[in-house]
Amino acid sequence: MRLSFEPRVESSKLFEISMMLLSVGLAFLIFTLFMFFTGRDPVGAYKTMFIWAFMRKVGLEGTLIKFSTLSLIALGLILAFKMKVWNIGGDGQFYVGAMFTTFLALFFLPSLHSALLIPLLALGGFIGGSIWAFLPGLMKAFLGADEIVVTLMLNYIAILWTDYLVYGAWKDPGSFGFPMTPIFPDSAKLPYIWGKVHMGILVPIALALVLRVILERTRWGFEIKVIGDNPDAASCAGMNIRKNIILTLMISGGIAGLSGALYVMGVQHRLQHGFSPGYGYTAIIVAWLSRLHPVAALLVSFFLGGIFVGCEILQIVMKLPISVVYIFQAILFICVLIGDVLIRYKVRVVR
Amino acid sequence: MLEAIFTAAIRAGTPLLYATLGEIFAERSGVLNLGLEGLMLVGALAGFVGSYVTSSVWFGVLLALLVGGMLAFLYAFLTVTLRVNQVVAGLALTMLGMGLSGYYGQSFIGKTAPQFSPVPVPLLSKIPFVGDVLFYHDPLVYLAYILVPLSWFYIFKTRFGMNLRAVGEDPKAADAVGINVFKTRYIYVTFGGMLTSLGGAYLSLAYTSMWIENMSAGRGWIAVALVIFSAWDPLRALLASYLFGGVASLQLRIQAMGSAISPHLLMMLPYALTIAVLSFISSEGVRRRIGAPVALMKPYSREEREY
Repeated sequence: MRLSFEPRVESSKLFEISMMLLSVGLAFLIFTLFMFFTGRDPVGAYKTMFIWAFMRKVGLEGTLIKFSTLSLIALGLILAFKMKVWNIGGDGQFYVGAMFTTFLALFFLPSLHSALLIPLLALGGFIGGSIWAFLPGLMKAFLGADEIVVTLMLNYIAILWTDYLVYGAWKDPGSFGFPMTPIFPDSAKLPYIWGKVHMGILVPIALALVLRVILERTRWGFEIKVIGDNPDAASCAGMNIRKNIILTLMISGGIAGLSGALYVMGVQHRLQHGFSPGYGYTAIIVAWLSRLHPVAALLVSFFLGGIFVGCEILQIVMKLPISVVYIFQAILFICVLIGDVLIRYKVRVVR
Repeated sequence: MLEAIFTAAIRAGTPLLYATLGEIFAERSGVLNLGLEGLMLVGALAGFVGSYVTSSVWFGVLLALLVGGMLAFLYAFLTVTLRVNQVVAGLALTMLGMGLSGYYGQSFIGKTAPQFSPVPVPLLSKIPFVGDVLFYHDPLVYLAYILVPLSWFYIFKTRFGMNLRAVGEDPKAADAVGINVFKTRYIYVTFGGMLTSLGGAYLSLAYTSMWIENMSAGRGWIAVALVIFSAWDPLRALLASYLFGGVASLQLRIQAMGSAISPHLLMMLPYALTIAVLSFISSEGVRRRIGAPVALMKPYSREEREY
């Protein structure tokens, strides 16, 4: 007995969406079994998660903050993934973006007026992230080096570099030994628009719409898609593959860096040790679950942001280790990948 | 001094060596497993728990092999049978390994379990310098010494090894001569996962001697690069792993000597070296010449002509 795979020529949007929803449902089912067999009360856990993540003001604020961070990184990844360039370095680019912004905010431009300062800080974060993605882009374009391992190694280096700064030269003398920089000047803080939700939340929403137009209506968007689907045809058609790989990775990384910039300006107001619980990796799941549609990525980020918050609450209420978040994400990821296969192929059992 | 550095290089290189060897088997069959990091974490915890519960390090090893094999089998199911994208499936496996080891490992943080201790090899360990560097280690290091030439012989000199390589090079032709492509891939992905998991167990049972969350610290990813560096050849994997082990332990040594350089910068060394190595060996031409399996990352199905 084995499986036969026949590529689907045409698949409707409705079918794709329902398959993805089914995958999410399957993930919840498996996670429920996991909770059940580890002796927890799944129904109670879901109820707590849902109520706190989406119904209470504190929780919803947290969900929205996580949404803005996650969705922005994911939008950057979508760009690269469309080209089948596997940027796994979202986390590192996020860190370096935050680092550049912190440098500018604390040491370079602290006396500017905030109307000028905030855009400059955001730009700084973007540049930081794109520099971090430039090296893997260069290596992939000219040496054919595997971008997966390179971007991953750069994640570890970015985290260590942040540590180097916050444990060393940038450490706040008044932080009682905590590895963090001094707090930003008020002019470098993003204004709040609702509770603790900062203005940066508008950026991914706007960017998703822009990306949608770029990907569907422009020549560049077309090139990205062709290079991803059929690099040979792309080079025959005279597209500059190398330039596109480097450029796309830099913009992809830049967007993750921008997310880091908004995070330090809007949430923490300082740089500190280990401030990302792996947003760059979660963003990969967002990109896949949204099937690389920018607008869908917004919805998925909101959902996964809520899961994050929900699990943080479970940590407090049910004394669950925070690792359940990774278990859930992994299960979800696997289910989504299976869903992806079922969308692309007609699978039949043959004897 | 030099003696101590070489000895430490072998100790630090052993977990990398197990993972690299394991991945060589998987990739030789045409399946890229990027989940090494997760497998190592799970192996590290399983090894520790096995040793803690039964007070026998060898039960720890057994448990690590079992659990690692189970996870890798799941990976084979996803990538070989369901033909899931291997890049992202590997990431999912890493996440799963991180999550599971973090979840079940929480109650083992700070505990102590029986550990492997050095067993000098009779006679050989008496050789000056060489004896201390090579033959004054724990049994898992010796096991790796034995596994390396055995793997090389198996892959390049036996019929089974030839079938394995055939499946990774040209699955269609292999199928035509009656080799079961699916079964072959299942076997070597699972076996590779067991070795990788054993590498993780080495961390918690011999190297660090305790369970720490995320203790593999990127070694799984470094091993992915080492496979390319070693040109899918077990003998070169030995050199590559010990070289990287050397860099890692040198870094620790400089730290311990109270150097003025920040430990955070020193800790970047192995990661930076990985990038440097990849930058000059990974062009497509070099990859082909050094023997990258042609069908790597390509799922196989009998119906499709070309994928």
